[in-house]
Amino acid sequence: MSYDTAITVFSPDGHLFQVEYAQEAVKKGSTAVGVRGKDIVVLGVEKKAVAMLQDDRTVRKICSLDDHVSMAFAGLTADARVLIQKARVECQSYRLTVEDPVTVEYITRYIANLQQKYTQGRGRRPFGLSALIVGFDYDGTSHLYQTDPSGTYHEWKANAIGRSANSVREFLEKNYTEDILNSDAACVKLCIRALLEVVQSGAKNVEIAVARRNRPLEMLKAEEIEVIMAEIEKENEAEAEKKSQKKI
Amino acid sequence: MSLFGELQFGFSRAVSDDEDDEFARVEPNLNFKRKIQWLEESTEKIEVDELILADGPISCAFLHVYLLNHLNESEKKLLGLSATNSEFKVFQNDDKTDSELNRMRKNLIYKVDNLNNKSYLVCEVFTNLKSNEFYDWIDQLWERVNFKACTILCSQNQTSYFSSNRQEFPCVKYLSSNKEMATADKCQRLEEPNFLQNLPAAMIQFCVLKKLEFTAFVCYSPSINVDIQSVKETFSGVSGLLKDKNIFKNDDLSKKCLLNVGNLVNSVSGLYM
Repeated sequence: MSYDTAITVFSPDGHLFQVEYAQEAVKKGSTAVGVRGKDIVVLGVEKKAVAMLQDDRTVRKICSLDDHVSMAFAGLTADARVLIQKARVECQSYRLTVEDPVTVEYITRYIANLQQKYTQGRGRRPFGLSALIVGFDYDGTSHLYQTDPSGTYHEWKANAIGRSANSVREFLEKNYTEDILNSDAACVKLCIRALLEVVQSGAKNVEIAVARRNRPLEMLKAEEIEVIMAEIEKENEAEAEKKSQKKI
Repeated sequence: MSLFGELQFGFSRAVSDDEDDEFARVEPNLNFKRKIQWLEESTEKIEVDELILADGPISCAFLHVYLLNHLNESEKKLLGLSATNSEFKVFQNDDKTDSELNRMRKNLIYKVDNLNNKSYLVCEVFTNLKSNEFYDWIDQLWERVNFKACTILCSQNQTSYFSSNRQEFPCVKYLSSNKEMATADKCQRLEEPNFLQNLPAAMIQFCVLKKLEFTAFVCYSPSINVDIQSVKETFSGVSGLLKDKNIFKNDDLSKKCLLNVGNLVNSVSGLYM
């Protein structure tokens, strides 16, 4: 009996193969990185090369779910569109019902529950995407959550999803310090440095979004990104020189 | 099986002996068959030391990033391409301003002289040939080119790799006529019950028949399209095994090109973001 064609069937050793295959689909999407600071949350994504005749405004990996919550995803584009639409409706429905904006954790749990439902329903397949959900609650605390096709969600200080996510996560683990938590500029720089591990240098290859308390999501301009990238390159060159001098 | 309401077309069991009809059936097939279209006619056979055959997107990307990208126009001569008749007409009418990366998809055949004191024939087969095209393709190649050895690069999906040992993917295995070839860290000999198929298998069979040396590298990859990790892994495997005889270069230019190749292939598909 094949255990990998029906999502509702466990294999003898406890695998749900369709869910695991959906996690493989996430790795086909380009890299997205999230870094959380005390007063800022940064989302950075590898910009997908857009065909010449395509309108690049319709090719977006970062989107807002509400004024204070945003999301980046990696995986199947169409699945992301459907999930984002459902999440946006839920955000507004919650506002109308409870007269308060959703907390980041609430909307993350909603998205994760939806993803989990699709791992149990007959005739459906799991959503083939992971999401990084960022924002600020009404009490001012910043949050970064990650969901995956199985419906699990966790809070992170910094994380990456998509292609080469493991290499980027390793980089974040080595370079994330508590000082970064307190500095907006350091958060943005760490996000860009993490992306540069797997993306070609140049502002046209990345998109950086910055969420701050009580402010709408802000996309950094290409010139600002170029300045930060130039700083990072200088620091890398200086470090390389130090290393070569030590060898001598 | 007929479903209620389905329209069934009439057919006759009478056999048609009309020869014109048979020819009409065969001719369209010839137009869709991919073969080697040489750019210059010649009666003389070209002599090279080694044939490098890249079968599939990952292998072609590997060749492009680590070899062809480092050669300028004077160092590599375009001899032909693998194409159907209509594809060849399009190629001839092209204004030739395609980027290097787009040319990777055109199944081009290059002659490279004087690389590490050897001459090579480099064949990119980006679009896999059909089963009825392999042997004709090899015969056409052998009619024009004499080679003494063959390096074959190919890739297969990781699900077609069989082993009782745990394996991390992507990984590279090799098969060689040189039984004394030592294994490298990143490149082990391909063990039973695994097998090669399609054009690489046909080429190996040809080499065995003609008593030519061959080494085939197969990259077992999680991806069917170009995947940067798989291309990198192929380089590690190939360079690890070939060592001093390695003609493939890994430098800053290669790294830049590798990222470009990944972007090019992934930009066309809107399926993943």
